[in-house]
Amino acid sequence: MQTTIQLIVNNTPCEATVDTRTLLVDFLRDQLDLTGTHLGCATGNCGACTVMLDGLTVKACTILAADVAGSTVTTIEGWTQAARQSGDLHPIQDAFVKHHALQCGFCTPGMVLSVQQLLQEKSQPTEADIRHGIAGNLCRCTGYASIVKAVQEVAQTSSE
Amino acid sequence: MAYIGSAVSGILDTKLVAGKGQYTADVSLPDMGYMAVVRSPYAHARIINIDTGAAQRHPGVRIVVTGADIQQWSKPIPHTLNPSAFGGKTTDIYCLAIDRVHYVGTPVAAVVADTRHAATEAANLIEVEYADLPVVIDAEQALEPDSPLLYPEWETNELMHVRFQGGDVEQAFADADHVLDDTLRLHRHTATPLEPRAALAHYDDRAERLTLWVSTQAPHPLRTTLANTLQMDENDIQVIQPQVGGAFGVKIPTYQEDPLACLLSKRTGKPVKWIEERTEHLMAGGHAREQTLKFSVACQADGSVTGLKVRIIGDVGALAALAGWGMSYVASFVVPGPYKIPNCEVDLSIVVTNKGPWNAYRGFGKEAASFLMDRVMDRVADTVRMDRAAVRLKNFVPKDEFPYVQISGATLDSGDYVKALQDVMDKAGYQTFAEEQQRLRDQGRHIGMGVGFELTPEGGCIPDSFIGGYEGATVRVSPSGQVTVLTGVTSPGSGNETGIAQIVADTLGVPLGTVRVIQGDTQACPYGLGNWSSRSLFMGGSASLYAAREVQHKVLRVAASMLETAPEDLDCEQGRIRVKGQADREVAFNDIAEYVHKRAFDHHAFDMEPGLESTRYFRMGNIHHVPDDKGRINTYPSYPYAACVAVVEVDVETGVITLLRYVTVHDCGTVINPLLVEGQFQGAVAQGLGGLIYEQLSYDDNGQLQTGTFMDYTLPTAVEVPSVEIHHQEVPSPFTPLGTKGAGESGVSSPFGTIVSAVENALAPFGVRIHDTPLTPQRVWRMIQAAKNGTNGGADA
Amino acid sequence: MIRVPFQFHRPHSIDEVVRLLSQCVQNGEDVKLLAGGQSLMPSMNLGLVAPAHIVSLNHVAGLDSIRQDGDMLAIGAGTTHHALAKSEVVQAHCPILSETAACIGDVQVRNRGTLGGSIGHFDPAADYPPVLVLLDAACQIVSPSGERTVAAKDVFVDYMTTSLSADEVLTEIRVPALPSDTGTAYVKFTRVEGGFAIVGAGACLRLNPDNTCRSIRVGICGAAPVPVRLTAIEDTLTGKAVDDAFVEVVAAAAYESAHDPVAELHADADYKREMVRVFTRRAVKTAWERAD
Repeated sequence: MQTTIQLIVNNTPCEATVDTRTLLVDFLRDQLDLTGTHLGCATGNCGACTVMLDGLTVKACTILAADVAGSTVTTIEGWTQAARQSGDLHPIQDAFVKHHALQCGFCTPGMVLSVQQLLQEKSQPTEADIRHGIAGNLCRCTGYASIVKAVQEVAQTSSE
Repeated sequence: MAYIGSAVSGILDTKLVAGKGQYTADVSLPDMGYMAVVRSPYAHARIINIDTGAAQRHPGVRIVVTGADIQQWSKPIPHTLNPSAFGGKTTDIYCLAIDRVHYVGTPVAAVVADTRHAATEAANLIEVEYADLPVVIDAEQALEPDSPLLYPEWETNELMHVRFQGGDVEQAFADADHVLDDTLRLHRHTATPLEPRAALAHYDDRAERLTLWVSTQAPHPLRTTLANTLQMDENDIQVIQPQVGGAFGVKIPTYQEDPLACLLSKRTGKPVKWIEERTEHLMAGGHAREQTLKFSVACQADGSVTGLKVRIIGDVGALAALAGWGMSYVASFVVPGPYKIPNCEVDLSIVVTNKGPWNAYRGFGKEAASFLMDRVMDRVADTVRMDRAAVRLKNFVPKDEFPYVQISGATLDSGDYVKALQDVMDKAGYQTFAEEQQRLRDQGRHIGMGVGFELTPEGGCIPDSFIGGYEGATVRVSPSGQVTVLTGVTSPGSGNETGIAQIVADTLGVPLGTVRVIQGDTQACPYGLGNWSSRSLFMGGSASLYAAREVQHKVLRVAASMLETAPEDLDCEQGRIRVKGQADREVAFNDIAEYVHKRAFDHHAFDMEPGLESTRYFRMGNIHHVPDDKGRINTYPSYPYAACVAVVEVDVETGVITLLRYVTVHDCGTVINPLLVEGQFQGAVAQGLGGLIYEQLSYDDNGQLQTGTFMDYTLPTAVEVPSVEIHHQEVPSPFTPLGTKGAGESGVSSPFGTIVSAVENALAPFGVRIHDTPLTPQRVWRMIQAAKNGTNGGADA
Repeated sequence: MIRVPFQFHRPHSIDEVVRLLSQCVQNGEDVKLLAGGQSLMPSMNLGLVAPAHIVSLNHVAGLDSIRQDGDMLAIGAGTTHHALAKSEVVQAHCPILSETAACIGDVQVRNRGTLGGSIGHFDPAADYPPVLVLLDAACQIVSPSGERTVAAKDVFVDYMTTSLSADEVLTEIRVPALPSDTGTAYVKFTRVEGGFAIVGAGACLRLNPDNTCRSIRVGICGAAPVPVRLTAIEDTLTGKAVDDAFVEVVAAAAYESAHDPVAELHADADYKREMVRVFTRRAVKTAWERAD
């Protein structure tokens, strides 16, 4: 069964016809070719599919594409494009690179968006705040230490 | 040496952090179909009949296949490690089950359709009639004479029996002051990379050529197994490894779905894409670790260990072509690890059961050996009433006895184990911990400190397999001075491409940014065996070093001619070649590159072989497959190690363990990039911690997997994993040109021994002794209750 | 991936929702309401649930309001955990509810999951039900025949079963604005951060000036298929001195009440009962520390 939706993705209005079963993550990946959003578990546990929906992070494997009609969706591609300051990346991304806060990169786009949300709500997070803030994003490579360090540096730089 | 040794960021990081990495699932081709696999819901059954009629008629379906078709169209998949080469049993593994299923998740049929939805709908329409067979899920029961048999033709469930022996074990036990026994049980868990497996196969009918994009660690060996399975020429197959979203061993072998997708592309004449679901991965992606380790140890009153008998029973699930069973073999090969115990015997039974097949997982058996030896040392210490670290210090192989040959033939390359442990004790405040512990105990808090030591043999090289101890690399300099490095090793996200770029940039004296590393394409890269056993940098990096040196030799020869000096009088840094001590006499690396390519017949280059390209292979010099006088061979060339201290707090009301600190002194020889090495180590500790406390693949008595999603197969989050305090001790390997040893697996083996030791230390007031994993809160709580009540043998639980 | 096709409905009013629901019910077709979908979607992805119709609540305006209505707080069923946790009104007048909302799942789950969705799905490990039961919350339910109000304790009737019928929708939850001197706490026990509660315990405690108990209420999840409220002893504790012994009496009562815990792989019934005791003790202690 098909349904038609209108929404804004990465600042661009879009209209699409989707199978009602299509998950937001599959819609973004398969129909819009936004493959920076990844699918790791389909049970809302791993967070690799994290995107911003109307300004807040959500797991796109737990949302139907049909249900985001009228909403605004931002993926890592759109966020990077809009949020970068000097150069090609946002300071969060620069800090991730500096501290090698990623290895395979599969969780990274979702992780970056979760960090963005965390710092939006709390610009000077404690280590515990950081760890709780990214608990919805599993990383199997880094053991999180380098991610925590990167976030700490972003917070510190922004306070200076 | 501008780059080697420095904390350079990953050269792929800027791309990956922006979501621009291209993983296999991100690759699409026009008109591709989607494959769905039907899997057995039974742990052990005969397939009576498969009715594919409704599926065939379902709209959008391109093909439906069962084992019968597969048997007709293809050969069995060659085993990554064939047990029969080790005197074990074997069985043919086809892409789909032929007439019998041996575990829940066995692939029995497959569909390709126009869309993923249509493929899964059709898969649901396939009706498979099964006849139940009796299930055996416990390895020790599987060894009983009346046990149901997985492979009746074997007349046993023992896949393989192995013995290693050295010294006079019986005499050592007869002369011992103390003899003590214990049985340890490790539970089943697995790697779970975040990227599920994925494949995109495209058989081009006009070119009669197959291309497979696949999330793999070993493209070249995969191409060879595909050629065998599909009965094609290797020349007609190209395997491409896009970005891989984590692997940790599970993506080394050829899975059934890989040739299956290829075959179905060939049959349908169109590309076929397959993306594994997480539930499939947890059922059928491969398991690890589940082993019973029985030991009997002979020691003297002064803590010296004089004899050790070990019996290992590896429960490797059903047999697959995945090489997982080899982990139990390696566990027995590594005993007694870093310790000098001359009288030692290991008896190994590798047993099949109706559970998911084992597959490689970071550690590859070394973690079991490390846990075993840590437990042995702790038990000896407790028995002779010595400090747990002191017993280890007493029994280590001394630093002046390398290379040291263990009873299995494992030839330890180099190290200073005593210093590593002493250093980590200092860094962690081992000597003063007891005061803090007592102070908190008085407040009702239970913290504990434990020591552990992991020896992590790397670069495994198994006779008659693609698990080999050599690697190749090509270094190519273009006319504009850009450097391409093509390697036989690959990176599933572990960062070796950055380390290799550092080595090549330093060797050529060029900026890192001019070096591009290309991996994972059988059409482009020199033949190589891929990424596993932490081999990529110390083997692939060494091959790259050799190739870069050869190219640089030519560059300097031309430069010397231009600058009217000798090559050895030149320095090359950041692309500038200078006469030593004369800043004004220089020539650009790029200019030399252009000259060599465009003026091969001019006077600075006319007497030289044209081109700036070299392909070199590197082999480890300390592997030997010809048995020595004691019948031993050495299959591992590199022996990194880590001494560790853990501090835990145990909530005695709930059994919850919190890891407060994890401190290590780690030796992987020369460190090419501390950022990468530390990242690997930290991640490995997180996996070890996850395995010890949070992760379990649990089966019920019928062989049904109870933890088939991330809701119940719980992975540790940032809240559970502390930042590891990592210190380096660089004892170079004498067997690699830069002194590098394996780095990558290290860190995964020590958490079990170290943390268990710390938990026992925290719970010392109750006298808890730990033998079994996982340390779930409920199990720890039970241990505390049992110890409090004096049940279960006084203190043991 | 969701395997079985379904029809998707995007109504814009509660009337329309109810009409769609009753249509499906009349046609004998399985229908599910979709709120945040944080439990429903994983279940559908795994093929555990396969309704023929999905009726989304995410396009109905006004379901996410939070307002103070006299001595009550009226919270729209579509309020997300995130909004509830951040709401100043809730933090000020019913802090146990914001504390509960803040500990559900992870950030992304809280951004999408809703109070009403959690109640409607009613997983025995869910955090809100025991808190709503202890707060004597009232649930506003709209059905084809009109509106009705049901006490929270009467909503949660059995394992994963509520008293709402298939053509009804929950629109609003009303909880009391607690006197400012009330000490409240909700504590939970999970395998990993963000995991389901093995056990969760909530407590509200008011003290008299002489440090005796003015009132206490305790609600627990994990003790039984439905939330347990310690009604039997709550009243008997009024006027008793609040001290460690008092806390132990409550914890012991919680243990006794945990007659039928839902056994899990890593937490069998005996262990869960013990954890009910431990976490009730912790909840009451914390509530006591926070009571003025």
